Amino acid sequence: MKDVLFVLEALFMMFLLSKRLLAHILWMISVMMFHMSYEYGNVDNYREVIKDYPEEDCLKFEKYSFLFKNLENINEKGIPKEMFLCEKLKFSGFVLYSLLWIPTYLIDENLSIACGVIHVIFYMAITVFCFFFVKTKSFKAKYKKINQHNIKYYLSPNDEPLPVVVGKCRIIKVNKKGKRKIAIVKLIDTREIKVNVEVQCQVQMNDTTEYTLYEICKVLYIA
Amino acid sequence: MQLADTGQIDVFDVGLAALSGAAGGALSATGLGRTGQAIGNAVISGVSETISQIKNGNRDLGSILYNAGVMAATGAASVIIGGKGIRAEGTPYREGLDTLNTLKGNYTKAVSNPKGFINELNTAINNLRFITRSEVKSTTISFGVSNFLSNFICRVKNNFRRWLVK
Repeated sequence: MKDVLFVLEALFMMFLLSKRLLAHILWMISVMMFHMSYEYGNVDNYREVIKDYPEEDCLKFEKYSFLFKNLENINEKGIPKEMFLCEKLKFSGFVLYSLLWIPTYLIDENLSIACGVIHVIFYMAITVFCFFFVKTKSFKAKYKKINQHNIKYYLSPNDEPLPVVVGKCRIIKVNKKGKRKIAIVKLIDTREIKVNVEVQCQVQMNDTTEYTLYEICKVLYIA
Repeated sequence: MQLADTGQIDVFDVGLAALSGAAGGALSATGLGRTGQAIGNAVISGVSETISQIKNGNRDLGSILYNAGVMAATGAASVIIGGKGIRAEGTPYREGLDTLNTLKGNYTKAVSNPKGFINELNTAINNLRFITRSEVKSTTISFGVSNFLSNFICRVKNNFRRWLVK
C-alpha cells in the first residue's frame, strides 16, 4: 500500500509540475518528505546510531511510538532524546505548514510559496543536523574521539574493532580540555607512563584507586 | 519528469540524470553507512549539477558553486530522509549476513555435531534469501523515491524564479 502511495504522490507531483503550481508543488514536496521519513528514514537512522548511543540519554518508546513507525520492537533502549526532539519539531512544522498553506495561498500566493520554501529548508536542515549530531554522539560514546585511525568507521561501520584492555593503572594527573578530561596514568604492571588518556568516569585522586586502561583505534581511555 | 516539465526531452539531461542515478545506485550497493552515503550522494549531486550548469551556458563561477552547493545539500538530505544502502549497519540483511558469518566460523560445532550444524546453516541461508528479497524491494523503493524527490527539488529550484507569481 505504501508503495502505491509513493507512486501516486510522484504522479501527482508530475501533474503539478506540468501546471507550474509552485505553492502546491512545495506542499507536495513536504508531504513526500514527511512520508519518506516516517516509512524509511527514521528507522534507518535509528538503526545506524542506536547500538553505541548512551542508554541514559534515551527516552522510552511507549509515549512517543506514534512518531516512529516499526521501531518499538527493534531495541529496548528507547529513542535518543535528540531524535525525539527532531521528530517533534518536524511533525509540528509539517502540521503548522499544512494548516497555513491554504489560507496564505488564498491571501497571497507568494506568501504561501515563501512558507513552503522555509518549511522545506527547515525540514531538510533539521533532519541532516539531527542525524549527524546523534551519529557523532553515538560514535564518540564508543571511540571517545574522532581521529585518523577511526574516521573510516564513522563513514562505514564495517568490521568495527572492540576495545582492548591494556592493563590496570593509577592516575597521576587529570587536566580539563573543554568538556573532556585528559589524564596521565601509570601502568601498575610495567610502570609505563601513558599520556593523553581520556577519562570516562568519576576519578578519585589518590594512590590506591586502580582503573582499567582500554585502547581502541589508538585512543586510550579509562572507564 | 522532463516531459512533464518542458513538454520535450533533452537527451543530455536525461543521460546525465541516468548517470548520476547509476552512480547513486552503485553507492547504495556498497557497505557504506548513512554518513558515507550522504557525503557520497552530496558529491554526485554537486558534480552532476555543475556539469548541467556549464552545459546550460552558465559561466559565472559563484553561481555555479551556489547551485552545486544547494544540490549537494539536497542530495545529502535525501539520503538521510529516505534511501540508504542494503548493506548498511543495522539492516536485517546485514544482520543476516553477520549471523551466517558467525555460523561459518563455528568449527567446534561443525566437528562435534555436523548434521545439526548443516541444518542451522541451511536455515540461516534460507532466512538470508528471504531477507534479501524483502530488503532489495524496500531499498529500491526508498532509493527510487529519494532520487525522485532530489531530482524534483532540483527542477523546482532551477525554475523557481521563472514560475514565481509576478
